[in-house]
Amino acid sequence: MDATAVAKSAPANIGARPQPLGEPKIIARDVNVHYGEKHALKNVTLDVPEKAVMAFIGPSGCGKSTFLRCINRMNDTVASAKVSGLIQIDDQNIYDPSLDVVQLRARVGMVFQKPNPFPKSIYENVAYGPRIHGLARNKAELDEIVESSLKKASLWNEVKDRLNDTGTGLSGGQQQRLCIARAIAVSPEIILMDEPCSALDPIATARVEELIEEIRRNYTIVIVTHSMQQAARVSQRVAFFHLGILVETGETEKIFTSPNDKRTQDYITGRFG
Amino acid sequence: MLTFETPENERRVGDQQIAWLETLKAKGLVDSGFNTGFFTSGDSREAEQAGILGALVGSLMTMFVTLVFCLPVGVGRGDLSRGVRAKNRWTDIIEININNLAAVPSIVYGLLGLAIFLNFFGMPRSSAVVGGFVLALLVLPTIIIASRAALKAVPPSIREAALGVGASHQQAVFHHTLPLAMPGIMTGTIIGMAHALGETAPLLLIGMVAFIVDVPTSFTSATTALPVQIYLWSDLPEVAFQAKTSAAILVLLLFLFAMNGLAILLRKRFERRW
Ligand SMILES: Nc1ncnc2c1ncn2[C@@H]1O[C@H](COP(=O)(O)OP(=O)(O)O)[C@@H](O)[C@H]1O
Ligand SMILES: [Mg+2]
Repeated sequence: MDATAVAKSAPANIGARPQPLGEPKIIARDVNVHYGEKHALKNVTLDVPEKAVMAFIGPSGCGKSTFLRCINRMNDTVASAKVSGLIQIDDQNIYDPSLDVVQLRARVGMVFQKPNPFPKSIYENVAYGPRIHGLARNKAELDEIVESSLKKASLWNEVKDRLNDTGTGLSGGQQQRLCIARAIAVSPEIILMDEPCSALDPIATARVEELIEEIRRNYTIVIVTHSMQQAARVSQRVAFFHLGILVETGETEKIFTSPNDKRTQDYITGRFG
Repeated sequence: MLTFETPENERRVGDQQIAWLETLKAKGLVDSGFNTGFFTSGDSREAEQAGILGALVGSLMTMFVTLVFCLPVGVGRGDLSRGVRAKNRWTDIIEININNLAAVPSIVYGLLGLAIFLNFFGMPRSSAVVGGFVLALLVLPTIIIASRAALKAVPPSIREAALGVGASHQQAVFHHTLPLAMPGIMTGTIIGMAHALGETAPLLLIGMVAFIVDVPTSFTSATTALPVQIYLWSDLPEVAFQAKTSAAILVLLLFLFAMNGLAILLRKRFERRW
């Protein structure tokens, strides 16, 4: 191989090269996001492996949420946001004009930073998604979906006797697991979690992490977290963002023990952020 | 009601008639009681026969037109300025105007109604439909402002949650945002309606001030409204019309109290903290 060939094959971003770990479920190429004048995300190229947990870490304001919200096109709801570049899920371009955003969001579930259950009953919270997508033919099937979703979110035992109580009356950790159950209920392939534990106490956090561990074999999970310990505990791959740039991605072990980039090194050793 | 200090020639009831009345009273054939006729008859030249049914029905019809016209427009306008729609010069101009319109004197709306609905579109004078439209324009800013505040008070996280499970924009609005904002919207609407119910000036200009005996049977037939009826009666010289005026005012106030009470009740009952 001569020098030019090497230069050509080397990606602009070293860390972006996919590492062996499952098939890539989501492929992002040169994704740029502008909020009006502000260039929030710069040329992000990244693969997300299937049926595994990928964590996005980085100092706050570096664009982790912005990128996450590109994956289910939630940025469409922000008037000033302009997204360019390519994002594919299973080889399908999700920014294709002919794509149905509603169907996309059914395939790509989302759990938000602050637990946001609907101010309705626990049952209704979980049943809403399946109902609007017509996933159940009758009440019994719907009951079934609600029960299995709550079980998968390891919330069933705590709420099975009070499914008609309002969801906002649960504790913060329970509310967040309810939101996970609500996302699971529409059988998504991908679940996006934006700092799902930042509003929770350590015990509730541990329960959510256990839950992620339990479901990760069946879903592709992308989690944004500001806690490096959490990234180390729950993820198999990590992507480190800094000032709108994807600095480095790699297997969690590797990133936390021997990162390639100086900035990653500084961040995980707590020198900034 | 009957004052004997007034000289006979200044009264409609002569001394002789009063004497007859006294004898009838003494025989137990006349007494004072609840005047149901007041609620079951239309206006009349004779104070004894004048009732408020015509004005009441006219007011209700007018309010109905106002409500049907206002609620969808108000809510739509309140929702339009939020969410995905980009802010631009047009939305800014509309915003400024909504806020200013709320402060325009009501008689100006009467002139507007006269010029547009009657003269330009040739709609029937004195009718409930025109009255309803004029009052709708009058209270629309109030309803829009209230709806917008109520819709804004619903946290965006609820809308995002709905979109996140694959609800369309319409589903998110109609299944979540709107129902949660409804108590606030209803409160604003009821207060707007109470405002419209008591409004007199714009109705004078579109001819709802006429003396109308018949109870209106359609939205296009000539009618009057409760506050206008009060205004008309208060102007009449006959003593008995004073009583009628007071009674009509009581009825109007009763409606206003009831509506405002309902608004407060709704707010108390459905108030939600996030
Ligand atoms: N809706 C928005 N409008 C304008 N700027 C935004 C918006 N959302 C995020 N930003 C900006 O984009 C940058 C990245 O934000 P974000 O993705 O939320 O960061 P992170 O999640 O990593 O903390 C920040 O500088 C933020 O100020
Ligand atoms: Mg964030």
